[in-house]
Amino acid sequence: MDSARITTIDRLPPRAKAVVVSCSGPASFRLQELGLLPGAHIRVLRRAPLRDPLQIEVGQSLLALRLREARSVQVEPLDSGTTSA
Amino acid sequence: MSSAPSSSGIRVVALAGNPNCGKSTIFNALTGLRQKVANYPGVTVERKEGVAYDQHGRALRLIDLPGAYSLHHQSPDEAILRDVLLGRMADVPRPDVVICVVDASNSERHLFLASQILELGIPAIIVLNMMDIAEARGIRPDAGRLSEIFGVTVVTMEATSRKGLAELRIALASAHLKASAHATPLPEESLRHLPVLPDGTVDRRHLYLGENHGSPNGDAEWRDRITANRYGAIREVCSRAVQIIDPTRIHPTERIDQFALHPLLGPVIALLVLTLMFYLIFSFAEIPMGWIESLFAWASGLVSQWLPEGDLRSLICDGILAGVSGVVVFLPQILILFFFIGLMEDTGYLPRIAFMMDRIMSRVGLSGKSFVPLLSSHACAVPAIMGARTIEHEKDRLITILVAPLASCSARLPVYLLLIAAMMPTETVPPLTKSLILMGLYSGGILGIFVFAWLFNRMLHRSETGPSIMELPTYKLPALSSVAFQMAQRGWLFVQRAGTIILAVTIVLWAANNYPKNDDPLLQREKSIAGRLGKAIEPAIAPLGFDWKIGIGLIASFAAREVFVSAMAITYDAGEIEDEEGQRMALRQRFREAKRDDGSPAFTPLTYVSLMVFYVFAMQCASTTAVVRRETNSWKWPLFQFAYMTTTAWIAAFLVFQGGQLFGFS
Repeated sequence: MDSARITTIDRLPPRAKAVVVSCSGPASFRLQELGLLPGAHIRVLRRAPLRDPLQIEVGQSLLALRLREARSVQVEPLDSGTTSA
Repeated sequence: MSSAPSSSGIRVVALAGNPNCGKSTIFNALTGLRQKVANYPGVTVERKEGVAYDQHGRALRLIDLPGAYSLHHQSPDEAILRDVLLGRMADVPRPDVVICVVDASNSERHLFLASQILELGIPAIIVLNMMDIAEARGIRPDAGRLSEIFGVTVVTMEATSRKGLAELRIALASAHLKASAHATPLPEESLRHLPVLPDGTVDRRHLYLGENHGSPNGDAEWRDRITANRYGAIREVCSRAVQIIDPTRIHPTERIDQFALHPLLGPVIALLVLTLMFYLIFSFAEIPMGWIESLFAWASGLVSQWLPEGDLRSLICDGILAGVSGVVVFLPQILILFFFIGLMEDTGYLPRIAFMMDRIMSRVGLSGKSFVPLLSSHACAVPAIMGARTIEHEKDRLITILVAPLASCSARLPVYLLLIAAMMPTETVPPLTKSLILMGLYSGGILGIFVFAWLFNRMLHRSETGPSIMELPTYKLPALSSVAFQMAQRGWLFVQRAGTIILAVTIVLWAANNYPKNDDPLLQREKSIAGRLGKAIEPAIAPLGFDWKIGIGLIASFAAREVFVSAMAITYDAGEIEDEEGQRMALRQRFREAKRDDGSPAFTPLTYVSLMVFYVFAMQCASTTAVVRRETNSWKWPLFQFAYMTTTAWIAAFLVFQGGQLFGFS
């Protein structure tokens, strides 16, 4: 894992794919129970028209995360060319 | 553990699952009309129970538990799921059988909760619902394999088209339903820490009780480890039992979201849908409402023909018939709102509107889910408050209910129009000025909603709130039968619960207006209980610029705000004019000529403004109070609502009137 590339979900551009590294903050339990576990693949789909919240795909679920929660999930971006399985 | 009937002889079966798993559709399909809806004690969480029959025709008591993501509860709804399943809920017996509903197209996440429940030792059935959607997306769960792994019956289903219902009834008829023997490995220290059951296994119920979730020392990583373990075990299960044909395939929902959540197109579509909904509630509903009113007017006329003039006739016509009509007249709006809510919920569009509006509502501590109820409250608070049950978080739901009547509803409009017309002669004041005043009144209500929502959000720490993560479910074709069912159910619930209170209040108000009897019909109003009350409250309303005659109107308004117009018409003796427009014209004139007891004009421009401001904020609607009482299951919140709104109205009108006088207005 390249630690220099680690960022948080709120900083990912739309369509970006990433792997979850860790969750923190008060929502972390629920985020993990919804599948945002370390190692899970996610994809940012879009932001709401007013920029917050954002819509992500994790597993087969589509979730809306407010920026506050998105900021608490650390991820490692995947290069757009890489296909995730 | 076997699935023997509980002490009462009838088996108790609970339906559990994540939100959006189709649980309610299954509940409705199994129980039909044999269901009752109430609240769990002390919370605004809905309690749905009904009678279902298994394939052998034996009756079952079916409980539809609130949707949840985990037994490690984070909201009052989830705590109820846990408490019922652990047998800790006072008047709900521990279920003999639990049906775990799993979305077949998202089995990994849905099995998270299902596996927690299966490990509680209750005989269970897994329902793999939405098999058609899973198939369309190339996801094929193997029911036989899942049944082997978990050791319980697995039924596949497409609840919206009733496929699989018979199989579920057959499964329920079996006397040999087993509890699952599957157990997710727990972190090692818990094995030493958790109590051990007679059969030698650890008692997993303790994972969900108390603050520490079974942790020996309450460390935060503990729960992360439990969650990771469980997902690890479920992935292992899914790798054996769920076939995914093309993992790179684009979510079909995404194709729709590209439009529905598009930065520009998305809000435009939402605006169109909501405008249509609002139009239908606000304007179209008036057509059937007119029919209902004419029907009751006709019935009242019929009674008048047959009964001699007197107390009985008056009670039937002005008390009972008016009361029943006042209840039934809400039905068109309730049915239309629930048609839209049902349709938007069923298709998955409602959470998309919440997604788009979330930012605005979050400014005052609410979520996007409060938007549709608060918008529809501008037509009528009664259906809006009933619609607030689409908000999962208890605290958000309560705040939405509390602030909803601040929206200027359609009953305020006739009052606003009368007062604006009386204040400003059409000849000299351009219509634009009048429209601006009307807009100001509506804006005042909206401002009130935001200010009080913000305030209550600060005040109400009492209930815990889950994190604001919202699921955007897959789009589905709506099942029109279930939309229709929900409409009918909400309509009936309203008539049954709120209707009785509205009827009672109407009769009380009728009595207050007609007793004690006075020989002089002109003095009847003044000498009646209502008139005396109007006089009694005069000292309280005098600082707002109102005399006792307006006081009578304010008190009569509690039946419904628009009653102000007719109450004023009677007080100012314009009541004999049948035609509504004529009555309004006459009333306008009477207002302008009206004098107080000391001879000064009763209505000055400042009085009109003060009165309008009072109407923006005051809680003057018995029907709303009745609905709030029913939705919050206590008198505490409707009384609080009445108190805070009426106080705000008084203060606002006081500031307008006294402030206006200070600045030399009259």
